[in-house]
Amino acid sequence: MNPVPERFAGKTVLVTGAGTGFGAEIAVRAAQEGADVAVHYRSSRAGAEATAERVTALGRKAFVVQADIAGHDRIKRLADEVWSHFGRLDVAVNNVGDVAREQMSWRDLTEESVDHVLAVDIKGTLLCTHEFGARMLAQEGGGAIVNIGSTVVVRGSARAPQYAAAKYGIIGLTKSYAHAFAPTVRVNVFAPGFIETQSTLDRQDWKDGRGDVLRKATPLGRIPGPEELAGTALFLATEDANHITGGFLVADGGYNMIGA
Amino acid sequence: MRTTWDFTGTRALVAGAGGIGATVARALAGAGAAVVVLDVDKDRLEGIAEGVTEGAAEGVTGLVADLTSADACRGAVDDALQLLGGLDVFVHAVGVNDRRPVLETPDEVWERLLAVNLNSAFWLGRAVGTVMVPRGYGRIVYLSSVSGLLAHKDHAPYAATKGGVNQLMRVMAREWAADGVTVNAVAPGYTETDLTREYLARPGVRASLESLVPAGRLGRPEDLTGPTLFLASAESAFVTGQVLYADGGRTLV
Repeated sequence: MNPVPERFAGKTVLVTGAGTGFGAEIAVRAAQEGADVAVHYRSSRAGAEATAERVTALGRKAFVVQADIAGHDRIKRLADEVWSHFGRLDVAVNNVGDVAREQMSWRDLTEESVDHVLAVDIKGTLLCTHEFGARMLAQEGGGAIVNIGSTVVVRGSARAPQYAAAKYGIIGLTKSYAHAFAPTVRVNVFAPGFIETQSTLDRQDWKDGRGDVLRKATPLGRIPGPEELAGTALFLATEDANHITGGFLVADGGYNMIGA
Repeated sequence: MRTTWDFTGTRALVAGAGGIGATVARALAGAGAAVVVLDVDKDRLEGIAEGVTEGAAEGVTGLVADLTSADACRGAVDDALQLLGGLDVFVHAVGVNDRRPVLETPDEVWERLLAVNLNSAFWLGRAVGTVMVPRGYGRIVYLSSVSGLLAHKDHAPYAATKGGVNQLMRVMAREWAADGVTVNAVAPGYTETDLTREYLARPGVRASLESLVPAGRLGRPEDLTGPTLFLASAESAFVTGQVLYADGGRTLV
C-alpha cells in the first residue's frame, strides 16, 4: 500500500503551533502530500525554522509566521500575512493549545493558569476559526479547518480541569462554525489520545511508569508518536471527508470508545 | 474514479450491493483491491462491476447469499475466502428499513429488520474475525446510520439495529485490538439510494430533511467512499471503536 498519498497537491496549509511536537509533524506530512505550508509559532522560533527546513527539503514552499493567538488583533494580522503570502489558504489546522503541563494536581490550580489555558485553547481557537473561516468563505473553493481537540473530554482531567474544560469548549465552537460556514468551509475536531511527543517523553510521571500503565490500558497496546497520527488528523481536511463537518474523530487506539 | 489509497493486493469482502455497498465495492476495486460482494438479490449483483475502472472490473465478484441465515453467512465468508485467498478488509453495508410508528409495527417487521441489519452484522463479523484475528491484521467497517444516535419517528426497529451495530462494533474493536484488527463504523445521514427513494419522493419529505443538514443537501453514496476507504486503509491504524459521522453536519457529534 502506498505509504503517503498526495491529498494536498497544489494546496496551501497553515498549521498553528508548528514549531514543535504534533504541529510540526502535521506540517511536514502536509508537505509530503504536496502542500505549501505556513508554519506558525509563538515562541519556538528555532523549532519553526527547523519545521520550515523540513518542508522545503521536500520541495515545497514554507512560510514562517509568528503570532501570539491570545489576542484577536494578532490573529487578524496572522491571517492577513498568510493570505497575502500565499494568495489563499485551503486548510487551517488549529493545533495551538495549553495543556497546563506543569500542573500535576487540581490542588495546584491557579487563576492565572485557568485564564491562560482558556484564552489560548478556547478564545484563540475560536478566533482563529473565525478569521480563517471568514476568509475561506470569501475565496473560490472554500476550505477546511481542523481543530485539534483531545480525548480528555471523555473522562475529564483530575490533574488539570481547566484543560478538559478548554478542550470541551473547542467542540462547542467547532459545531457552531461548522453550521455557520456550511457547506463552503468544513470545520471538524481531531481528537488524539496520548501521543509520545518529546515533551510527553520528558515528563517525570511518564518516565515513572505512567506510559507503561497507559499502554496496558490501550486496546491496541501502544502509544503512537506524532508522525503516525499526522496523516489521520489531515484526513478531515481532504476531499475524502467532503461530507464530514462538525464532526469529532478520535484516534486513541480504542482507549475511549465514546465521543463527547 | 479518484481514490486516495492504493489497495493493490488487498482482499476485500463487501456485504450488501445497495447504493452504498456497490459504490464502496467499486471504489475499492478501482483502487486495486480484489473484491467479493454479497447480496441476496442476484439482479443487483449483475451490475456490480459496472462503472469500475477498466482493468479493475474483473476484480469484483458477486455472490448470492441469504444474509439472514447464520449458516449462509458462514458459508458466504468461506466462499469469499476461497475466491480471494485471504481477507484484509470487510465492509458491512447491509440495511433495510420499514418506516412505521411503534404502535403500528407488526412482529414480522421487527424480526425482519433485526435479522437483515443486525444478525448479519454479527454473523458475518464473527466469521470474518475468525479469519482476521489469528492472522493479526484486519480492517472492518460497518455502515451504521445517524439513526443509531438520533430519535427519528417511525424508525424504531431500524434505529435499534443501527444502535446495535454501533455497540457490536465497539465490543469487537475492544476484543480484537490486540490482534491488529480495527473495527469502526461510518454513519451516513439520509442518503439517496434505493432504500430511501420512495420515502424521499413523499410530499415535503426531501425539503424537510434537507433543512436539517448544515451542508444543505442529502448524502450521496460517493460521500461514504472516502471515510470507508480511510478506515479500511493501513493509514487509520490507531483509530478503532469509532463511529465516523459523514452526514453533512446533521448530528454534529
